[in-house]
Amino acid sequence: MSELGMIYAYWQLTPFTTQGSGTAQWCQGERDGNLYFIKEFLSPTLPPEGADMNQPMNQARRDACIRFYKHMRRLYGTLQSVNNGCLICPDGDEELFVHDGHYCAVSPFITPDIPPESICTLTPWERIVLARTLVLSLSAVHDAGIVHSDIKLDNLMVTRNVTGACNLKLIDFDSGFFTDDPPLSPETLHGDFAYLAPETLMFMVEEPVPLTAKLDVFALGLVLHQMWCGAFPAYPTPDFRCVGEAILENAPVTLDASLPESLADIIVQMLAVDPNARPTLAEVYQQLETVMAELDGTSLAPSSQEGSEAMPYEEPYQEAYEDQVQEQVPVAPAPRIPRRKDRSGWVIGIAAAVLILSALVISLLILKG
Amino acid sequence: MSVYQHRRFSYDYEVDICLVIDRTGSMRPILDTVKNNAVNLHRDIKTRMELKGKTVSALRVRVIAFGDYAADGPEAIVGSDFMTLPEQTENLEACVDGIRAEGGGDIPEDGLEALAFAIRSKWNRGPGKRRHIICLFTDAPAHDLGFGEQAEGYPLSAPKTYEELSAMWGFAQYPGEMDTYAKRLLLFAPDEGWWQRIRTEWENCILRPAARDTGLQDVSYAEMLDTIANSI
Repeated sequence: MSELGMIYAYWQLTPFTTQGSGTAQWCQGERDGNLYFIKEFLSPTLPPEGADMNQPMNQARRDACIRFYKHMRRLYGTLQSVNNGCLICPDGDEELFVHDGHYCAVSPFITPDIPPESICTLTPWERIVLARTLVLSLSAVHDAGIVHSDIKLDNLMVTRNVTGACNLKLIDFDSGFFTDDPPLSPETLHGDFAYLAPETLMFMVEEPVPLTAKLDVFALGLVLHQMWCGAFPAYPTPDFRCVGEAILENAPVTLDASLPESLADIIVQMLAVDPNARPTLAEVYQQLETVMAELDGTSLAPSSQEGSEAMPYEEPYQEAYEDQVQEQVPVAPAPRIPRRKDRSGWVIGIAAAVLILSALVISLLILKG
Repeated sequence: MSVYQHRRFSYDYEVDICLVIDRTGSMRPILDTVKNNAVNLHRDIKTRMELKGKTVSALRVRVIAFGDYAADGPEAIVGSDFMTLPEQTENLEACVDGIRAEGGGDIPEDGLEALAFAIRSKWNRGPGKRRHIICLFTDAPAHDLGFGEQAEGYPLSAPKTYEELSAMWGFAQYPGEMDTYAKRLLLFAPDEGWWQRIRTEWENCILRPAARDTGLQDVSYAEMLDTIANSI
């Protein structure tokens, strides 16, 4: 590899790093003025060019590569088919390729305006609207038969648009699996230990438990708690090293007292030890509607002044949400927000026409005179 | 009654690290880095792992120093047993302290033989979650395997070809001599010759490019530590 050279069709801008990834290394790249996140998988690797493919080792390597490529193409292709703009994942044939014997995947590079750990500093209204976007996005992923399997606060990218409204993107689907093709061994299951569901912890020690999308619901429960108060639910440490482990052993787990009751209710259900007892994402979404309704009319809801152009965060959120609902999962009907018509174009047009007519009249008068 | 209750499991990592260090003349800077930080290695890895929410329940380190059989004779490659940290920290310090940066002959060294030596370490094969990490430091390209086979003390068990060495490392669908999922190879080496080929072809291998003949003076302890911790 020529350091900071070209990787396929992308200029490498930063050296590779393994930070935050045990199975890949990544760097930042650029193409046509746009920034990209380039991920190089450490396994599998292609047999070298000219390798004797009659050798069992090279055959095994080639077969592993074919399986990996088919899986990733299916994963990315399916995600893109349900992507409403809130999922950041590779797209198209040029975004999964081989470089120096390794598979690389490329997706847009997003720099969050609000770091994940600061989401809890947003207004309650903003947090709940972002939570609803997250639930909708994950719901689309689940409906497509995919389990994300690495839902965590760090995988949420929150940006602000020109109006000041927040947008949420869900990233890093490379640990994802299809419900019809779940991991068969602990070594092939990845995810952040702090967010592992009880059944995932059992699977990791080779207990025969099925892995379903409900493991994402558990992790999402923890994320919703963090989005609200910036911390995990309290659990006995150091006896237990994560919430999932404490719940698995029936140890006391306490939600933060600042959570609205309706939000706490649904998070408690999402953290149920039995995956079958956890709510569906549609139920989670409905409960977030209730949370919003409860915020409405309290000091936590945006005031009419805050909803104005000076602090435009209610209306843009609802418009963004409305677009998402229309494009993907119709979990609940969205309120119709009338858009303001921009009349500035008309004013400029009329002014221009008056000027032209005036010039014509003056010209005619001069000619006659 | 739900099966998801009242269970006590261990998710701790048992980590074995094999430090493979080119001990030829130019390698003084990285040898000093390892020597100066050997005493803190256990604490620093543990702290970094805790930040990632992982627990290291057992850490063992062994050291292999290598040079060039043709120039250095039977002592070209020497290695310690695994030392358990923090209990045997003093042994580790003494071991690293005993490595003299000298010898080596021509520019390339017998790094591939040293790598084979490392692959055949007595790795922990316990039932828990394991990581077996080979961390190789060199500022020189590697000789072809067998370059020094005429020299006294050249190991008869060394692989004869690169393909044989690759098979020792193994692949996910074609396991070698190491645990397929536990193994990691971290190369701090020039991105050329055999090192480049290994970086391109071997699974679970990361190469941090190093300039030739600089003793890896641009590799900091923090970078070394981060690379190791990220691989666990």
